[in-house]
Amino acid sequence: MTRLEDRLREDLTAESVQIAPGSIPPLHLPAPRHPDGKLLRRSPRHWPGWMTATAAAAAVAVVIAGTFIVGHIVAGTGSNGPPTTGEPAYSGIPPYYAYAVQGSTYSRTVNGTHYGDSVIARYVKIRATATGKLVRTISPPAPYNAFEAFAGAANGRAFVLAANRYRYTKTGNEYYKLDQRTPLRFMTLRITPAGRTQSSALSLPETLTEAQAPTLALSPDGTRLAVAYGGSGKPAVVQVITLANGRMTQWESPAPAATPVLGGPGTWTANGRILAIGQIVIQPGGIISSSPTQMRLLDTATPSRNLAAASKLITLQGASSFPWPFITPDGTRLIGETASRPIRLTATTESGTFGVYSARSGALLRVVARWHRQGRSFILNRARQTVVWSNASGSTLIVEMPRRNINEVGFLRGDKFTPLPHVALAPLLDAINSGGFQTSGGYVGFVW
Amino acid sequence: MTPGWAGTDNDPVDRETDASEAVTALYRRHALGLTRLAFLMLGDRQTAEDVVQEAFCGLYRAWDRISDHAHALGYVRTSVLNGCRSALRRSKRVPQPLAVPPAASAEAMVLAGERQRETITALRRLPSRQREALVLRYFADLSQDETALAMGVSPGTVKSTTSRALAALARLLPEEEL
Repeated sequence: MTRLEDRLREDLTAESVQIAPGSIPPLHLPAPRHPDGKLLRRSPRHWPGWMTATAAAAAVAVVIAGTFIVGHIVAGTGSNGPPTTGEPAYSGIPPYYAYAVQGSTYSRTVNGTHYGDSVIARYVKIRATATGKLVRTISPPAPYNAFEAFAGAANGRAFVLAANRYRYTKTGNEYYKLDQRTPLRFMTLRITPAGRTQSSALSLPETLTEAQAPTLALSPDGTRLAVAYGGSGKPAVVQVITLANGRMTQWESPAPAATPVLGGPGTWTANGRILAIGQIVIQPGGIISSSPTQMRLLDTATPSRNLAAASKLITLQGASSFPWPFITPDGTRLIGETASRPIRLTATTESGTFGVYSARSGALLRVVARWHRQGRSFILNRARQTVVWSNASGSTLIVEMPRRNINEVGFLRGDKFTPLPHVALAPLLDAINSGGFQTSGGYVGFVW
Repeated sequence: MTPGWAGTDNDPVDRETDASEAVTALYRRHALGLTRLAFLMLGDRQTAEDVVQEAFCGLYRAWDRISDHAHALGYVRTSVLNGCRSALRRSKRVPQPLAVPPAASAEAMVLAGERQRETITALRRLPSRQREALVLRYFADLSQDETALAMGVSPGTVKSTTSRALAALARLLPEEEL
C-alpha cells in the first residue's frame, strides 16, 4: 500500500461521512406489483407523499428558540439517563411538536377590577404533527411557574425544558418579576414509541441562572445538551454536556466577545459534531444588536477549548438580521431571514424573504418565499418568519412565515408553501405580547 | 471495512421473502454505503440519493427476473454506478459541475483539511471510469473481481484502470508518490 493509496482511502472515507447515518431518506418503492410481475403504476419516487406518510413514523425534533432568549440554570435532582432512543434522525418530518402557551401567574378580580400578570410560556404543550392530537401539557415544577426555553432532539422524541420563576413583588404595575438568581430547573421529557410521555428532573453539572441568559440545543440523538451564554462584556461560553454522565466540555472566548446564541432546531449538524452558533451583541440597556450578521461553526471534536480557535467565523453576506442560526443537517447551508421591517412603531408594512447561504463562504445562494404584508403597528401585529425544520440538504423546510394576514406553519420547497395541517395559527391582529403572534393558546415558540 | 459500507455480495436474501420486504431490508442495510459511494462519484448529495432510490426501485421491478437473490447487492451496486454515469452525462451540460463541489459541507469546511479537499477535487477531475475504480477499490473495499463485476469489465481492465487512475492522481497531487 503506497502513501497515495493510504491517503486516498482516508480522504474518501472522511469525505463520505458528510452523508451521516440516519440521514438517508426512506425508500419509496413503486406501486404494488401486479400478480404477473408487472407494475400497475409507478408512484413518484423520493419524498412522495412525505407530508403525511412519514409523519407518524419519522423522527426529527427541532426547536424554535427564536421567541425567547432568556436564562436557564441547572439544578434539580434525579438521574440523568439519556432522554430517549428513537428512530433515525432526519428520516422524515417530526412526529411531535411542542409549543409554549401563554398563561397567568397571577389573576384576581377585586371590586370588578381584574389584576393579573401573564407570562408567555406558562405551559408547554406537545401535539402529534399528523393529527394535532394533544399528547401532553407540561407545567413547571412548583414553585417554578414558567418556562424559559425548551429544546428538542432530532430523534424526535426527546425534549429538554428549562423552568424559571416569577416571584411576587408588587412593585409598580408589576405583581410578578422574573427571578434572576434562582437556578433554572431543567426537565427531560421523552415520548415512547407507543406515544406515552415520561418526564424527569435533569441535573446539569453547573448551575446557571436567569441572569446568564443561556440558550439551549439538544443533539440530534438526544444525548448531549449544548448550552451557550456570556459575551457582551463577559467571556463567551459554550458547553456540551453528556446527559447520561454529566460530562461537560467547554469552550470560551475571553471578553470582549459577542454573546453566543444557540437557535435550537438548526444548531447541530446531523452527525452531532458541528454546532452553529449565532453571535449577537447585547448593549447596555438590553438592546440586542445582531449586525454584522455572523455565525460560528464550532467543531465539537476539536481539542482546542478556545471558542474562536475551535470554530470558523462565517459572515452572512447580504443578511439583514440573523439572530437565530440554522444550519441544514448535512452542514451545507445556512438559512436566515433577509427581512425588512419598519423601525417606526406605527409603520404598517413589512416584507421579507428566507436567504439560503453557503456554509462554506457565507455567500447568499438564493432567496426564497418573498413576502410582503400590510397591517397595524408591528408591536401589535408583527409577522414572524423562522425555519423550524429542514431535511438533510435544506431542499425542504418547515417554516413559520406570514401569508396574507396570518402567520402560518408549513412546508417550503423552493417558493412553494404548503400549510402544515393542525398547526394553524391565529390572525396577526390579536397578537399583543412580545412582538410575537398568538393563537387561541398563545404560541410563542415551537419545538419539534 | 469502510464505515457505513456493511455487507457483502453474498448477503442472504430469502428467495421466498416478499420482494418489497426484501428490497426494503436490503435498502436499510446498504443505502448509507451506496449513497456515500454515489456521493463520492457525483459530488452532489441530492443526486446521489436519487440515484440510490432509483437503483432500489429498479431492483424491485426486476426482482422476479433475478435468478439469484443472494447477489442482489451486486445488482443494485451496478445500478448505482450506471445511475451515476447517467447523472454525469446529464450534468455535462453544466460546465465543470464536479470540478468544485456545489458547496462543501460545514464538516468539509471545518473538519476536513486542505489535503482532503485537494484529494477530492483531484478525484473528480479523473475520467468517470477511473474514478469508479478508485472509489470501489479504496472506499468500498471491493476486491478486483468484485470491482470488475460492478463496473461490468474484466479484472484485468480494473487493474489497468486503477493503475492509470493512481498515476493520474499522483500527477494532480504532486507531493504524493506512487
